[in-house]
Amino acid sequence: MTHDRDTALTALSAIERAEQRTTQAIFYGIASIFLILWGLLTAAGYTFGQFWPKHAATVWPLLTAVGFAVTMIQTRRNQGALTRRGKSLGWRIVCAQVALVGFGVLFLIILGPLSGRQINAFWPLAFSLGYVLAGIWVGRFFVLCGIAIAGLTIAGFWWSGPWFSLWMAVVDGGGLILGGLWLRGKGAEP
Amino acid sequence: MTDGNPIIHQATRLKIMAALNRLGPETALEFTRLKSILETTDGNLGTHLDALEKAGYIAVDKQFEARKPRTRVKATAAGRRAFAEHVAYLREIIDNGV
Repeated sequence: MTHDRDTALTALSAIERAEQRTTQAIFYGIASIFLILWGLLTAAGYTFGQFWPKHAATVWPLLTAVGFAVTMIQTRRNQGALTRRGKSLGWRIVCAQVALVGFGVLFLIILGPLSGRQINAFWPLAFSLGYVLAGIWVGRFFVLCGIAIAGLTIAGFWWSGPWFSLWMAVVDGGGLILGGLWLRGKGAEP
Repeated sequence: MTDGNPIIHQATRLKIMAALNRLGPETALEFTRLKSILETTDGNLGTHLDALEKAGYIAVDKQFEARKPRTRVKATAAGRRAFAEHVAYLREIIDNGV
C-alpha cells in the first residue's frame, strides 16, 4: 500500500483534529467535576453568609480548604487517566486556581480593607476573569460562563439590596453547578 | 520506506486510533463519547471498532450499568505501536516529498 503526499497530509490533519477533540472532551470531563464542586461550596458559603453573616469570615476559609483538598484528591485520581501529552492538565487547573486565589489575597491586602459586600463581589469577578482567560484557549463555553457570572455579579452588587449573598449563592454557585452539569454532558469521564 | 498499515489507514479507523492513542494506557472512552468526538454514526463506528478489535488494536468492554448497555473502548499496546508506525510512515512520505 502506498500513498502520496496529499493523502498523507490529509491523514495527519485528521489525526490532529481527532486528538484535539479528545483532549477537549477530557478537559471538559475534568473541569465539570471542579465546577460542580466549587459551585456547591460557593452556594453553601454565600447562603451561610446571608443568614449568619458574623460567621462568614470563618466559614469561607474552611470551605476553600475543603475545595482545595477535594480538588487535589480528584486531580491525583485523574492523573494516570489523562492524555499522554496532557498528563499535567489537572495540575495546571489546580495551579491556575492557586494563582487566582494568591492574586486575590494580595489584591485584598494591598487595596483593602473592603466591605463584606465588595469582597463577595470581588472573588467571583476574579474567577470570572480566570474562566474568560481559560476559555480563550479551551473553548468559548468558559468565556460565556465567565462573562455571564461577572455580569450577574455586578447586577446583584448594585441591585440586590440586602439579598446580595443569596443572589450570589444562586447565580455564582448555581451557575457553576449548571455549567458543570452541561460540561459533563459534553466531556469524557477521565 | 515501510508500507502503511491498511487497517489503520481507513479514515474512520485512523481517527478512532488517534483519539484512543491520546488517552493514558488505562483509560477507556465510552462508545457515545467516541461517536461524538469523531462525528460519526452508531453503525459506522460499530463496524470500524469491530475491524480494529479483530486486528487486536483495541479492546472493547461491554457491560450493563443500571440496565443500560455501556461500551468502553481503549487502545491496546499493539494498537498504539501500529498507530505510531503508521504515523511515522505518513510523516516519512511528507518529508520525502513523494
